[in-house]
Amino acid sequence: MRSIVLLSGGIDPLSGRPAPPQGEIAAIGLARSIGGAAEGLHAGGPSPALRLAAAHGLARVDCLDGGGNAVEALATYLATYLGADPPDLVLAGRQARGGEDSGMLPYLLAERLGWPLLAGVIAVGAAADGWLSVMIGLPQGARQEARVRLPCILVAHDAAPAPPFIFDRARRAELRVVPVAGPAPVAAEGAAEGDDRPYRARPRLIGASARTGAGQVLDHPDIAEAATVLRDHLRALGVLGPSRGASPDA
Amino acid sequence: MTGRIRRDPRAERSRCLVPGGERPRLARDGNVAGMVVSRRPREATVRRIETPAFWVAAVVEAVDGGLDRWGRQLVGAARMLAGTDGGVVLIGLGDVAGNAAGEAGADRVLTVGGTDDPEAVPGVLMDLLGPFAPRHVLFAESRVGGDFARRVAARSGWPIQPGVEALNVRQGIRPCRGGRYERVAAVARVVTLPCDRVAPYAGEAREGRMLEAGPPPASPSARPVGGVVLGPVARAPAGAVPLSEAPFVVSAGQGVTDFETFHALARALGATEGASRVVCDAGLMPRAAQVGASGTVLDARCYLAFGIAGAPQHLQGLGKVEHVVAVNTDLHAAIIARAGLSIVADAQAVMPALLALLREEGA
Ligand SMILES: Cc1cc2nc3c(=O)[nH]c(=O)nc-3n(C[C@H](O)[C@H](O)[C@H](O)COP(=O)(O)OP(=O)(O)OC[C@H]3O[C@@H](n4cnc5c(N)ncnc54)[C@H](O)[C@@H]3O)c2cc1C
Ligand SMILES: Nc1ncnc2c1ncn2[C@@H]1O[C@H](COP(=O)(O)O)[C@@H](O)[C@H]1O
Repeated sequence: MRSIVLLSGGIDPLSGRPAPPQGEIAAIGLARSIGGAAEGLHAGGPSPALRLAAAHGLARVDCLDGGGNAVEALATYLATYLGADPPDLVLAGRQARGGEDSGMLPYLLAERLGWPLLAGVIAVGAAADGWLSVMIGLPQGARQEARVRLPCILVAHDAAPAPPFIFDRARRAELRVVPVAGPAPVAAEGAAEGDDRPYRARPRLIGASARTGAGQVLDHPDIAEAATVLRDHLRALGVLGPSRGASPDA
Repeated sequence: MTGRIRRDPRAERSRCLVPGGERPRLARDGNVAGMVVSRRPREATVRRIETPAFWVAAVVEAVDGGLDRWGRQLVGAARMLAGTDGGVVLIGLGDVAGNAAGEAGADRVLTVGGTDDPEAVPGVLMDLLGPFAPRHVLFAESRVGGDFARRVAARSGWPIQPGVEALNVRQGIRPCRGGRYERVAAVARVVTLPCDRVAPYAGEAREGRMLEAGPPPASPSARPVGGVVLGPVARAPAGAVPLSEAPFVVSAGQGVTDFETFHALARALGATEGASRVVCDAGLMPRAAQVGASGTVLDARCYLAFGIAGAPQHLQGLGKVEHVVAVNTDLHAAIIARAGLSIVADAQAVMPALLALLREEGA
């Protein structure tokens, strides 16, 4: 199994210093958990953040020099330069940190290559008959099994287990510059329109969730009746399963 | 008789309040008199629009057959972008009732079921959206909504503005460059909104007419799908979900003495256990279970509180909770003012009664 992890080379939002985004570290973790060879791939010049990402378990990161926009550069590289030994799996983070940060690149790449894409992947299982079984992380701790046809693009869940940082790996990692035909890569989304200005935190709507005023109040009800009302209310809210009874371990 | 118009001071004062009347309007220039415009009494009619100048679409996941807070905010944002000339079409992923959608601000409602295959999503949505040629398509920046929005944008080539934190008709603002900058740009064709960024629609109810989706046109451009097979969703066992993520939390305060029944009840309800600080301080519950300012801030949909007074520090942990249910002996406890359903009774009596009811059902 040969997997390629897409690295964007990012910054730390607090300090502004180079640091790989959490999602890309999670992607490296997924690539390593499958076993087999894992390499990094970056559209753009070598940057210190790539070395820091490689410290989580990549021996080599290929930096593409040229190729037009990032999606084109990556697609060309995957199709042409790796044509003889194509990867089975391409992994990406949910969102870059330090550029456009739109999370669109994996989707555009999947569309360009015509590969299936699955987002929110928190664990990968075994591959069989050209299909890979994966686990998707849903909100509130829920999980969903899925199978995806290889080759494919997987977008890692930020909470997928991250492999440890090993300083020695950062020092040894090879950042290889690969010249690709075409102009220097630019952001996948092309020239962004609009103005950039320093971020201003805007408070979320307050009271959007909190209800004002008390709801229904049962003052000293009959206990059995209160219990029934309580159960029906919880059921109406959808947090209590429909009369499935007590959970198996109760 | 003079021709002087009589003033109605009460009406004038009420016009200086925000709709709903909880607080005064913010008048930055202090010109309150200027706001005192005569207003016709509000008639409970439904606003219809037959041939809008353009359409704005909101793609909303239905939660338990309705719109949740986030869904209403999405429709509200679409309504705001549509202005007076535009129409809002709500694309419901799952069943959405027409009148609820109308109250939320939708003029038309289309529902789609069975969007199991994420690979097929862009095709399905673009076929639905095609006849409307929407000026904007709004999605939630949730796991599913964000995924669908990006798939649609990648397939259609429409520009996308994900995670917009401030939105008005002229511009959308989203963080970029590692969250250290924000980009201000005209509202893109595809927009995704995080929760609690745009107010839901509060005006006159719209029509919310249910439309039938036409037969899917056999688009020649449709790519073969079937690269992904989704399996069943496994809900996490209650004990395994971290408190901050748990959808349903049952919590014990000073008013609970019978912890055995409390634990059994939490298990029977399939809920995660929480507690107030006093209970954690007393060592009756682990510190990790503490809900509140110095404990965990919940993201639950439902919070069931037994014997909790509802101190401000505790209520801070419930900011995002939509439904609070309280059992308390004191009718005047603060939590009762926050709860959608309150039972003024002894927790030691209600807990076993509810437990017995659940066990009876299970038998
Ligand atoms: C800096 C600071 C931070 C804090 N942070 C937190 C925090 O993060 N989380 C937190 O929870 N607290 C916090 N507190 C403490 C908080 O102020 C309250 O003291 C605490 O929440 C009260 O807990 P309680 O409601 O369980 O107890 P009480 O205030 O004693 O209330 C018990 C309630 O149970 C009811 N009751 C009594 N008997 C029964 C019965 N048999 N059946 C039903 N109901 C009954 C009573 O009517 C009463 O309403 C903080 C305080 C400070 C100063
Ligand atoms: N220049 C790039 N080279 C390689 N991978 C990238 C690049 N930019 C983004 N990615 C990948 O795409 C993901 C989403 O990035 P973005 O769409 O820029 O938010 C990132 O987490 C990376 O895995």
